[in-house]
Amino acid sequence: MTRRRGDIAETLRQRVLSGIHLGELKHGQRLPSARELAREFGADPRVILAAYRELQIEGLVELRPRSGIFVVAADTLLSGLQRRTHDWMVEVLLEAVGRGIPAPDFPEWLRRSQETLRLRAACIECNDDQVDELSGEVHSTYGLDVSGVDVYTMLGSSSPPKDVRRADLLITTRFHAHEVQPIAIQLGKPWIVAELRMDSFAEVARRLEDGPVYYVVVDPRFADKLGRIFAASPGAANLRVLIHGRDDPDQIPEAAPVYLTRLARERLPERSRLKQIMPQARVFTPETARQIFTFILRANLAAVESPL
Amino acid sequence: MSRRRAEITDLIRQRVFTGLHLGVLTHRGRLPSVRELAREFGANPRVILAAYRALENEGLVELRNRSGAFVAPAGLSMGDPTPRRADWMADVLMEGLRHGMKPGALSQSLEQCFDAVDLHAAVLECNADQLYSVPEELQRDFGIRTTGIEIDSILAGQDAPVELRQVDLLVTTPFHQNEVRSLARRLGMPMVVITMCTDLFTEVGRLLPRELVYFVVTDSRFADKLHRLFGSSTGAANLRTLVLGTHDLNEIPDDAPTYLTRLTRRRLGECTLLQRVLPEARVFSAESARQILSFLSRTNLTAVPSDRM
Repeated sequence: MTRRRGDIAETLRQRVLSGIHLGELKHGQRLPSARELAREFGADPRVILAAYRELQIEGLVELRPRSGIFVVAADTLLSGLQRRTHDWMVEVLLEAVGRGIPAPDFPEWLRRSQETLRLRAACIECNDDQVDELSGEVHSTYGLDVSGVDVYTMLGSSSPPKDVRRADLLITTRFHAHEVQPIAIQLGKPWIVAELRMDSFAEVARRLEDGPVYYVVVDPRFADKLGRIFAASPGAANLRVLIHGRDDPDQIPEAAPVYLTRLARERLPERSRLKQIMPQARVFTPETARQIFTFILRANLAAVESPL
Repeated sequence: MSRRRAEITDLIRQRVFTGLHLGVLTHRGRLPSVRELAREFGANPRVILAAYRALENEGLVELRNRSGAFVAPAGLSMGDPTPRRADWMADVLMEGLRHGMKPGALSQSLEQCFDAVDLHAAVLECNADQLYSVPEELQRDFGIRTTGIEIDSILAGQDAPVELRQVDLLVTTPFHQNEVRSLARRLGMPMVVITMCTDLFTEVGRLLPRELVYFVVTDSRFADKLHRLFGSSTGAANLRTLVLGTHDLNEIPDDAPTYLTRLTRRRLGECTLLQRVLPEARVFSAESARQILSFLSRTNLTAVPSDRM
């Protein structure tokens, strides 16, 4: 139960932080009620409320009796975040000193442990939306150079394409793990099967039971894939996938929940009309994030001659 | 029991690291036997063995059947603690993401904990050994420019010396906290009371009831302080303090546990013929290190515009 609460608190924290960061949430804005979220997460409202309370202690949200839950005002948020982040940074520096790294050297040391080598990843998927989703996340969060590779192009040619051959790391999803693995082995390259955060898919499945849910994608192949992913869900008939450039986004009712892929988000100019755009979740699960970091750090630390 | 094992593991790990650093230990060099350490720590040999095994897993130590424990060859330990370190760093980066900072932003925020202000601290102490070791650690581990000042010289004078007025922070140890606190109040200056890392004292306290323990210091006042410190320990009479330049170090039996202060080490160089030199201990307790880091980072972060955080 507490574990579940921890997971939910983590998801909510992520949503609030990235929502503010992306401009989708504003300070003082009302957040979904515990009852609404209880339905979405399939959890007891008391669990949701407890998760919200955790966030309140951290200074992220404000619970106002009888009127709801709100993102805190900007200045309060900043100082709350700063305090939490500051205390944590002090602990990190303390640990660094304990490991024999002088505290003032640690930031540079941390940087060198990631940036000594220029590492290149090939993100392999079967449609433009997911290739873009993987590549964007790998580049922007982990700082790797990235090339996107279409799995069918890769399988269709007699030898792996240049982008795959010169990559230091291959990244794919479990849909294509069996296709990427033999090539990684053949080329002697490390590969990571990225686990996507499934909470968004689970969330969509739950919303489908309540009514139409819209997806805007760019590549028709991703549209087909979404159809397959939700085929077994009870609300499958409520899934509406629109292909950018082919289908008219005006047909989306204003109040309907809408998911945009990263690629669609980039290309869709009139997103402001859509009220219920779901916040973009971080793409990777913590396990995958850890694998990517570990790959980067090990490669760099081995290259940096004993940084002590 | 496992807590005790963890403590002993930490202690041995630190010894091996600092031993290598100081050149007192070499890669592939022999480490004390399980039996010897069991005696020293007053612990069950199985606990020591378990600690050695943990260090073997970390690639720091090599256990050879029937011939004992050795420092692992260079490639395995100091040169390549990579996996363990990478795992820790991965934790840090993951946690950074949870705080909303991508790796680049994290390095930058950490840098801001040091970059804005060039802090200058004064360490007030009563003897040369501590006036050397405390500033050295402040400077090396925290990057704080530090001046050591004899506390007696200040208390004797009427006005605080000029050099004191130019610093941002006063640092002392619990022995002198009362004098320094009133001074800090008078000067309107923050102060930190450094508590010492107790590893060394615990270890010495454990050895004293059993055998002679030698300290080589450079300042007789630190020798007096040590006698006061261990005055109430069992085996206090076994404490021997020698002052460098006054006493003959040859009177130390080859196999007696011997502690050299940092200043002594510096004056002696790294060549010492003593066999059981206790490794250099970290001076500051974790709590003190945390206080200093907090002070340092707060001072720096409040000096930059808050939107950069």
